[in-house]
Amino acid sequence: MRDKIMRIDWGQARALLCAGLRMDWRGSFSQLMTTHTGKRRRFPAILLVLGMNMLYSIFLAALLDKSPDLFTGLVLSSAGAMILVALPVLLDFNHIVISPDDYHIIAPLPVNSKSFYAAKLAHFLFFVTILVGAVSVIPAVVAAFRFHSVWTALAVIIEFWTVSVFCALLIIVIYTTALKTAKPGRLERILGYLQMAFMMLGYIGFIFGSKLSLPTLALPDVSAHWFWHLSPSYWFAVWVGPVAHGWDPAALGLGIMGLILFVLVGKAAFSFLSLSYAESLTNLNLKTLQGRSREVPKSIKRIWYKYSCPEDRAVLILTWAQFKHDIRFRLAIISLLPMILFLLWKAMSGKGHYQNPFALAPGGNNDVTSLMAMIAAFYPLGIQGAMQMSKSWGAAWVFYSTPSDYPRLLLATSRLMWPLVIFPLGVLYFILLTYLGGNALQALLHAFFILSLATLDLTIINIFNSRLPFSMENQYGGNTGRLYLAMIIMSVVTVVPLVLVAEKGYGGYAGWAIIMTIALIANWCLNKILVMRLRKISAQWEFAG
Amino acid sequence: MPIIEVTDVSKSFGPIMAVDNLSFTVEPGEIFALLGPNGAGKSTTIKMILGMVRADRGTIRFDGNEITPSDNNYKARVGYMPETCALYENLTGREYLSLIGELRHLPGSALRDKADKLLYMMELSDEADQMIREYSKGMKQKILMISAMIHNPDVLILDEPFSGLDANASATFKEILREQARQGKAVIFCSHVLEVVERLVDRLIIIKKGRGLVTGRPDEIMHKAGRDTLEQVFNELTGFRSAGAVASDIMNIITRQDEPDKHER
Repeated sequence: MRDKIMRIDWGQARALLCAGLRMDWRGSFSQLMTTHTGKRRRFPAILLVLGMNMLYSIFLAALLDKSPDLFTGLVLSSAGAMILVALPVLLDFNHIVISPDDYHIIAPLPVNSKSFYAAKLAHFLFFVTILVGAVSVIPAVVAAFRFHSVWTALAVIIEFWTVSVFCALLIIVIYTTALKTAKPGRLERILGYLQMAFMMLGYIGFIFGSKLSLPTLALPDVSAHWFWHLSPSYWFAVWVGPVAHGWDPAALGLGIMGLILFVLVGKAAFSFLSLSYAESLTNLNLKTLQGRSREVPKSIKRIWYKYSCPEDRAVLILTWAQFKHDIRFRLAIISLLPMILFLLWKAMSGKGHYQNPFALAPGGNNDVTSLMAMIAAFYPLGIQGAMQMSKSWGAAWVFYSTPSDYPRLLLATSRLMWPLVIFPLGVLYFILLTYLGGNALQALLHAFFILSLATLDLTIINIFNSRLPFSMENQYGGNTGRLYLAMIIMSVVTVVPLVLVAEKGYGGYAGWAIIMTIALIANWCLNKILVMRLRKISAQWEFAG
Repeated sequence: MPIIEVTDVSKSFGPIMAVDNLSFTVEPGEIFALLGPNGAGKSTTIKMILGMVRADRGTIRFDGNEITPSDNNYKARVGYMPETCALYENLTGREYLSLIGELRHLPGSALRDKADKLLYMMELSDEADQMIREYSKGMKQKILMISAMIHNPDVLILDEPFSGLDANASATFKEILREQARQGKAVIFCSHVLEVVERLVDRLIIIKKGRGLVTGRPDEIMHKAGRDTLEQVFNELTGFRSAGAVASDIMNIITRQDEPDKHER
């Protein structure tokens, strides 16, 4: 008879944990790049995520280095670490918590809820811990040198881990509470809203973080601003506060509150994550599958048939059905929406500060334009990335056994971005830029330029990462990996030209025409390269199922 | 002239030789079966015939012309039904057939009409607008069968077509295959149901570890081997002991009294 401590069968929990980790590792082998021969290099996406997290942690190390004291450095840098860990958790590793398949597999076996929970929590904490490890190494070393003590390195690691684990546990508790309390009909919508809210916090954190890293911006006094008191990074950093400030009763109160919350959140996560919770998820999955599809109006169908090729229509049928019924695909799309909300808020609050590239004025800034460029690049890249994966990836045999044209199918996914994303964004940008700059023509031209950069991004990522729609297995770490890859391409292709335009202006309509012509020629050339490459590599493709 | 001609074809996946120097031909109007134990290389052979997987060596010809994976004229004349029910499960049955129709460049209105009628004939009309995920295995098989035939192919390639079907659907499928052959079309399929194969096919090949062991008509093969049933020939050629002996050994292992490990005592 196996020992049971805390009603957990540790043998079962260990077996479940090992199986979960093994599957994650095998499932993390993403194929982010396609070689010129069409063979795909298999690369563990989790390593890319860890590498990029390590790269971003240089900013956190810089914050620690610039901070006047360890306390301020810890509050700021661990807030950044929290976001760097939370993003992959939300984008990729939420499957550990919200996998609807568990119940089917585990329920018929003699596994009790507590053992199931122990395995799930250990699995989740394992990933959080390795993510924290990647984020904390460089800041810890820098802190040790900056504050001349090895103990500060340890303080950094403990602080980063505590804050990130707290944040990750909070995500579990919020998801599971929603599953326990929400009515089944509303549950899926609530999960969508939660994902949106979390992503919103993440994006704001990223944007705020990128501002902090600017050398011209002074670091905030974290003790003086009330909103820093709401950050878990503040509560846990309080425990090293005496080193810098001596005992502050108010800060100590926040520290004690942080510890109590940590215990409560851990306890709640412990009791919520169980087999009955997995059953709720399975029921949710079944509910979303019921119901019949609605017919598209005939007039729209007629227009669509007139201006589309069979490959376009095939991709649309697939994409629309996945969006309607695949919760993972829908959450991936929904995750992008908060950026639009953030843009609207930024535009509303930024009137009067907008730097119109047709008429440069002192004191103007490019915050709104930069955000527009980010969204214009992220949206098509994000959606197209999500369109590559499916649980039913094995069904991609249809592409290989039918006389469909692979390059056309691949280009159809890009073309679909025009009516679905790029055109609606263009209209939104035109309205916002007109509101901010007051000149409709200039707004239209500037919107055109931003969107031409977005199509460049899309073409470039297609050159590097082309695959048939919904033909790839979900890969753990793949979403975050693609997000980071998109960020790199976007930084080079979108940010650099936009910064140049923002600094120098278009120099009138003639200048815009020249710049736009260059952008269009670049688009045309890259498209030619893409088509040539697709013809070459797709001839070598084999069905992997 | 054979419509499909497989000559000295080999395929390996890393160190594993899936298909080893395999050769056979299929004539128009013929029902041809690929038989073999699990892992014999039947599905790989089918995928190579379809151009989904490239052969390492050898040639595969269709109507006298060597096929290549990018040969869409060939793919337009072939219908395929895979072994596993690999379908986009978030599509409805009707949506899935629309997808197949678009990929096969079938005209929209004709496709809809054909799909509706075939769904009715296969008793799927009521479920046509439900997602495939909700279908039973037999219903999924029917959708796969419709999608393999909807474009009226010259060659029908089916991987385990009878798995999961009820008796009525199975009988219908067999009649469809016979009718296809009567119309001069070639049918190639894999199956483990040897009684069905014995009665249905014109010719067959038995494969083991990627190698062709014997090719010919079922009655010829049985006669040459001096056996009464195809199952006996199959067991003998594939080196299978009697089912009773294997079952007995398995039961002995299951019913064995297991001693607990030392650390669990």
